[in-house]
Amino acid sequence: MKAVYKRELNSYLNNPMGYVFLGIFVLFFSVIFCYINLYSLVSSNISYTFSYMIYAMLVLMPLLTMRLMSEEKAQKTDQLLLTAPVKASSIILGKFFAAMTLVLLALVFTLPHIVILVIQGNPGFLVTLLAYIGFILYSSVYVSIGIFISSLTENQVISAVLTFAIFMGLLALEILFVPGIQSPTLYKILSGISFASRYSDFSMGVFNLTSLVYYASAAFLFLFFTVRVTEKRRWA
Amino acid sequence: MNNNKIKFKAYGAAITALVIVAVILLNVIFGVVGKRYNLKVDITKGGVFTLSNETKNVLDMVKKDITIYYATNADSRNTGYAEILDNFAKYSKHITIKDVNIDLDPNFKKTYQVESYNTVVVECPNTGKKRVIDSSLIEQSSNNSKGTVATSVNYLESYVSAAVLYSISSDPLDVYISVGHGEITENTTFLDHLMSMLYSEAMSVRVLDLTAEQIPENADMILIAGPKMDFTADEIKKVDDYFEKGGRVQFYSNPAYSLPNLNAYLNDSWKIQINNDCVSDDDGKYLAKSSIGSYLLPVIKESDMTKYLSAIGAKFRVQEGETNSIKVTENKNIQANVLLTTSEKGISLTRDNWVKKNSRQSYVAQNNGEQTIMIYCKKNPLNNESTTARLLVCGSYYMLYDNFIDPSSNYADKDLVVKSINYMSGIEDAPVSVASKQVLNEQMKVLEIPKLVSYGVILVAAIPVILFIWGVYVYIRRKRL
Repeated sequence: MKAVYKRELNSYLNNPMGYVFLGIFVLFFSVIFCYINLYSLVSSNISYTFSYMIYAMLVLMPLLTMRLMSEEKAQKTDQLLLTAPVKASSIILGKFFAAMTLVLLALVFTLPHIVILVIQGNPGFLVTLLAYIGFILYSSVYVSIGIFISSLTENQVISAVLTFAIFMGLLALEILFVPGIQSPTLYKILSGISFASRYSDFSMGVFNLTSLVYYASAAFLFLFFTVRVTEKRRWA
Repeated sequence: MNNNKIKFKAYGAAITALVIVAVILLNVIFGVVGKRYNLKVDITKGGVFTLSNETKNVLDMVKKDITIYYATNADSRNTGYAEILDNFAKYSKHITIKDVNIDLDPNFKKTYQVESYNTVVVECPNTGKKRVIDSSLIEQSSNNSKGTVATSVNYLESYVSAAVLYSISSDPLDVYISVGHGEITENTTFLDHLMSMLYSEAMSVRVLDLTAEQIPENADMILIAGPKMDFTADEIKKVDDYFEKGGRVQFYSNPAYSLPNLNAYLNDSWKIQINNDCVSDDDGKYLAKSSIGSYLLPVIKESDMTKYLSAIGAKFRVQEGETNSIKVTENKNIQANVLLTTSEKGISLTRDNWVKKNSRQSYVAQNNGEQTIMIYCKKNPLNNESTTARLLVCGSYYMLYDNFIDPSSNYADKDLVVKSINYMSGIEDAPVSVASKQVLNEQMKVLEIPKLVSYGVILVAAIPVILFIWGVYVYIRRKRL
């Protein structure tokens, strides 16, 4: 797993795409931060910016995950990986953690924003930390879905478009479909499985073990699906 | 070979199905456990999503089933409000929370006269009482210099706990606020603020114009706040008749105006003299600066009415100088309890001398020593000894000033007003009012435009551009290799 992780991380950092992701991430984050935190709400609570960033991630995540599996297929390097004495789960986890490291790296570039909040206001340490934890968990679900989609196709563009479409579909379901549901039980179930509504706990300053388990299990489930797809290819 | 493939596929499908079921089960279990036990940690500074002890005291009194409806729609649903309401149901088994989408259930909207999304209705079917808490009451924001929200205060817990108390009580207090004599409550802002504050404390509040109306039979309390014009003999008779029937009055004086008729009545019937003076304190510990002068921080005196507030170290404020001192003459028929005073270095000044003191000129105090600011008296009326008349006199109407009774205030003027109304009405163990809580919106210094622009340039332009340039450098280096 370590070798795959190192290889993927090097690939991100020796490739302009990694920097494009970091640049666009910081750009989106900064624009939202300046408008929401500094100008509109004049609030030292960073969760407001993160609440909007989860929408920006719809565009950013496909950039990060589109090549993870499909590039291997397109360049036929997957044959090497699949025949190597490495478990499929190690390959997938290596790629997953490499992508998550890039997300964490992007978050490092948001520290100047926090410094400004500390200078101008009084952001609570724990509330800020929880907003970051929530965002990392949310991103982990997006990354795992992205890897799964990427494992289904060898075309990076198709992978990116499909990932974006699925994220948009999930969001549309949450925004357009769920509100119109008349049955309270169905409404509760569907809003309960909504990724965005689960994030609200973290943005409010409430650490909810149930939401943590939900995000962790959702990420696990899609990583598991990816392992199954990879295993299938290995033994095909 | 085909058999192996089928076996592998079947095995894979079974494993996948098992994992899916396990993940769903895990989440269902955590969902159920989370509903029964608290799996959440509230890390907000003010504990916005944790019930306060005052609310728990109210909920401990609930023995009848109560339904709390959260009337909203999917777009406007506030997860923070839902979280706070869930805490009520988690704490008391008698409370049920029901989400109502008023777009899909117009009957509910009509029946409960819900006017906006995010309205909360508290109903006790047993007593048939309900209270509708409009969304405009729940969260109130103060604007910064740019006209945008700087801080917002959440009153939901405070309003809901009061509504719970109201819905289970068999007979809520009927409080009448006097108008018609230039009272501060003739100003609609003050009146609205005072009415909504008392309403939030489970009281029924109405306006009473003594110049034209009789005091209603059901009046539990009459509040007279800072009148500028004197009461006529006829109006005083109405008040006196009300006392004869065991009435309760709170009178907050307006130091800028003299009311000879009313003062004479208070002196004759209650042996209370409201001095035409301005009270200050020479001990700086009992003064605090404010944007409208400075506050006088009175000393609370031990009494049954104030013992709880005294125990929790509650602090009060009135406006320095805009406060009259009160004197009471001992009388065997009247039981008087001093509630608030100045320190022992208190001073009573004529208005001229107060103006001089305020402008740092030399002045002469007409009276030095502890000055009484608030007093509570009770007596058995002469013609009706079976009842008890109660009167609270405060030397300053500022005690009811809108900012002073704001639940978000650090001072407990509101608590004293509420506690005294409840106490005088015989509800001695009424839970003290539930304080509002500041929501997550932490206030920050408003940035001047040049600073905002410089931060914007660094964050929006400099950092992303550096990253893009770095990306281009990596791209060029790779091409050269």
